[in-house]
Amino acid sequence: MLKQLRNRLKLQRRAACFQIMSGFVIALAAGFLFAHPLIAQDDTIADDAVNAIAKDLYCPVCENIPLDVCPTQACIDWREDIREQLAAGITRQQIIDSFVARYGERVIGTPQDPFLRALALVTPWIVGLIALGTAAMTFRRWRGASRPPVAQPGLPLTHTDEDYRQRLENDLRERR
Amino acid sequence: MLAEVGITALLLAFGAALYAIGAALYGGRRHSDNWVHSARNAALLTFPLLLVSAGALVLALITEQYQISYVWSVSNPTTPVFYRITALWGSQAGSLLFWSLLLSLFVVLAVWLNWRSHRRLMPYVIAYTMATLAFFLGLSIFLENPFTRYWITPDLPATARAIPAYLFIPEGATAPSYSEMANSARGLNPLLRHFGMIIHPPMLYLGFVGFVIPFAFAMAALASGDLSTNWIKATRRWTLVAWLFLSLGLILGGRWAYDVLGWGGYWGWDPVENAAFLPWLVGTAFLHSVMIQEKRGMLKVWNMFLVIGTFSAVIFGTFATRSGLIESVHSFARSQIGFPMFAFWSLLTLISVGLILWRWNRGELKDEHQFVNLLSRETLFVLNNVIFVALFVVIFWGSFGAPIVSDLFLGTNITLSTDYYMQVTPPLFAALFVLMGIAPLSAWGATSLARLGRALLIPLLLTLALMVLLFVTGTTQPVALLAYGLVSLAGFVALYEIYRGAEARTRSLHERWPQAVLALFGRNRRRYGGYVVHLGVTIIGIGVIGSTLFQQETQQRIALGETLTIGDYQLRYDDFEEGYAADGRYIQRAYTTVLRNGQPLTQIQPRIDIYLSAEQGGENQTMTIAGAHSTLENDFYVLLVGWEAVTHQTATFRVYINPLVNLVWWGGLVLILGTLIAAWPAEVLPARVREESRQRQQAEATA
Repeated sequence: MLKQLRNRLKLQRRAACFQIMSGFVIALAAGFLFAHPLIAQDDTIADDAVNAIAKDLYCPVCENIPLDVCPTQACIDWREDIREQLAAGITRQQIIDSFVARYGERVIGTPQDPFLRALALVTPWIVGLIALGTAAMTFRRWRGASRPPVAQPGLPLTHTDEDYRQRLENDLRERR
Repeated sequence: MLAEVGITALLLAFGAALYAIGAALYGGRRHSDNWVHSARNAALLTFPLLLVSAGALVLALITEQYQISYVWSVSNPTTPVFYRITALWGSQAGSLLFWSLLLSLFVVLAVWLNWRSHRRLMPYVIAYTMATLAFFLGLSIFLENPFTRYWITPDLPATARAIPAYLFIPEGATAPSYSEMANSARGLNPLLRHFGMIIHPPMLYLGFVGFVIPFAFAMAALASGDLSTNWIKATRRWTLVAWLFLSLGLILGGRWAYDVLGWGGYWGWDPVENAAFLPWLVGTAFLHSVMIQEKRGMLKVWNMFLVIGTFSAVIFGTFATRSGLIESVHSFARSQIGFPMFAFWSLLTLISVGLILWRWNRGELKDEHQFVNLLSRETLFVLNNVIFVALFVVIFWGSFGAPIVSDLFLGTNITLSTDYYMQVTPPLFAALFVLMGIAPLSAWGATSLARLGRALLIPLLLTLALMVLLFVTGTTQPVALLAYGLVSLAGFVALYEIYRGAEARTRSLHERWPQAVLALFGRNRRRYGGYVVHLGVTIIGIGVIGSTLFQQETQQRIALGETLTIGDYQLRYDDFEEGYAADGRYIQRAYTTVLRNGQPLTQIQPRIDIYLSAEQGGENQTMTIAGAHSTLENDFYVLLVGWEAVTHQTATFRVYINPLVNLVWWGGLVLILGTLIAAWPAEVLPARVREESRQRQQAEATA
């Protein structure tokens, strides 16, 4: 009887040990599996220096997310690439150029190529100027076609204090 | 069973919509009341039918019917009931059905409320709205059916990795086991498990589909030849309601991005964000210019173009977001609906523009007055419209034009990011704020420069005083001072106008101030509601300037117990914890303390949630959830970026200080309040009185 009890306690202890060990192993595995590892990095280059460049680049595979904030492994690797290039003394512009050369113009927020840059930045201004020009011409045409600038009957010339008060007071008087 | 109920109701709604189009057009052409009544009844029937269809899908989601492919793709056994319901709009097929349901709701309300007052327009309103509904229902039935089910057919190889989905049961097919389907179910996209995302899509959809009503009334006016201001009167509130929901959708979308996407901002100039912003821009221009037509009978053609432009932008945005044309964290997966949507958008735009040109050519859209003064309110409103349209053009170009042109014609793929938008949009936004400040003080018809200057004097002095105060307290950047000045001017003008009105009441009627303000708003809700909207936009503008020009950020690795410093704040790394949550997420959380000038303020816990993939070899989804200490002054916003595995001795944090960012949300609330005031119906006479008045008018007209 005593032997049986001792055996049962032994089994329970073993089970408890096994559970603790299993829990530890699972936690350890999960820790490794899901950790956002701090890759052995060159501490002479601050994260802020890396991000200052990464901010202007877009991950070639992600969806319109800047490289400095994208959490995917590919982007972590690309940030490390920037860090290594900075550590090697490569300039900001050279790093950006190297990304454009490798992955095309879409990795940069505004194109590097002079023609594409001009196309991207100048086109809306040209369209805007055409719109403004058209509006100005329309106004001129309207003014030319209309009578001299006099107030329309029943409409106030402006919205100054006295006119405004007068109108409001008349309105209120009628209401009373 | 639920799948059968859902698809049957969907097919019946589709049939009803098609019938309504035919009956409405026939009845309208033949002046047959019976046919138009029949069309109306068919249109009204679409809503209960779609309610049954969407209800069947929600019930299938709640009761975990994983054999239905949509349920399998957006939920799994660990998904809470609340998210099962919101999963209705969690993916393409369900959200299209939800879109159609909201569209039919708007149509039912618009037809029901305007049936008597705008009878002449009704056949065409029904035809246009039902054509739009039938198109979306067609997409749901033929291309993105949410009721397809998984079936194991006799010829399916035993080694097949996926079970195919069918709309109708194939011969000899058997249903896969519940456990097999439940264990492999995908679950809701983690990005959608956020309060903002629960209400953001419905608000955005309500905004989008809401614009179908003014569009349909405008088209009905063109088709019927009733080109008076009737269509504008009928749709003013509908436009405001759609604009309200779209604004709310945009603000909630910004809040969701700020909380969930983990990049420290709320607006990334992403093409999908822009796709929702574009109809808002044209819709806002329309809300202003339509007043000119109401007051002065001018800009008839322009207003038609704007209302078509707004709805066309809605459909284009939907196409761009749902077709796979653009890649974005906000967009739906690539699907087959791209070409039909593009065809529908093109057809709708062509027919609408064709109708305008036809009426214009016949001389039926002539303005009743001419512009006589460059400082009149109508001129300033037109300038406001030009700027809204210019903003539309530059944002459209950046989001879609340049990437598509470069891809199609130059053999390269370019992305225009924040850099581009920060170069082209600020001058236009500045001009808009200037007009927001000046236009309310100008009068309809004509205003002299001297008088306008006198009216502007006090708001201008207040603005200058504020700029001096800001300069003295340390805001010395000329750009920031100018930006704050321009934005504030618009706010001061709105406040000053409200003050003047209330002051006149207190003087002449001896009312107390709160009473005078309330009475003022009650007497002219539209005008004073508009001023409150301007105030809301001003507050948002101040928040945007503060959080854009003065944002600070740093990323540093620190050891347990150490602090990093940014501005006069410090962040201390206290502890780390990781483990599984009840819903299956793996959570990794850092405990940190925020200090200011060495004094502890609060504790925050930035974390990373990992949603494990149910599919073998599938990709886990990671969410970076920021910890934030929010005050009206700023947000201290912390992201957990990395840590030392197992020991957690060191961790990397990315920290932002976002000054005045909360004003963006508060301003949004003020804007919504103002829109509600402006849209609130005036006192409605009892139905009996209205009917008597209508009969009297009819009798007078006959006599």
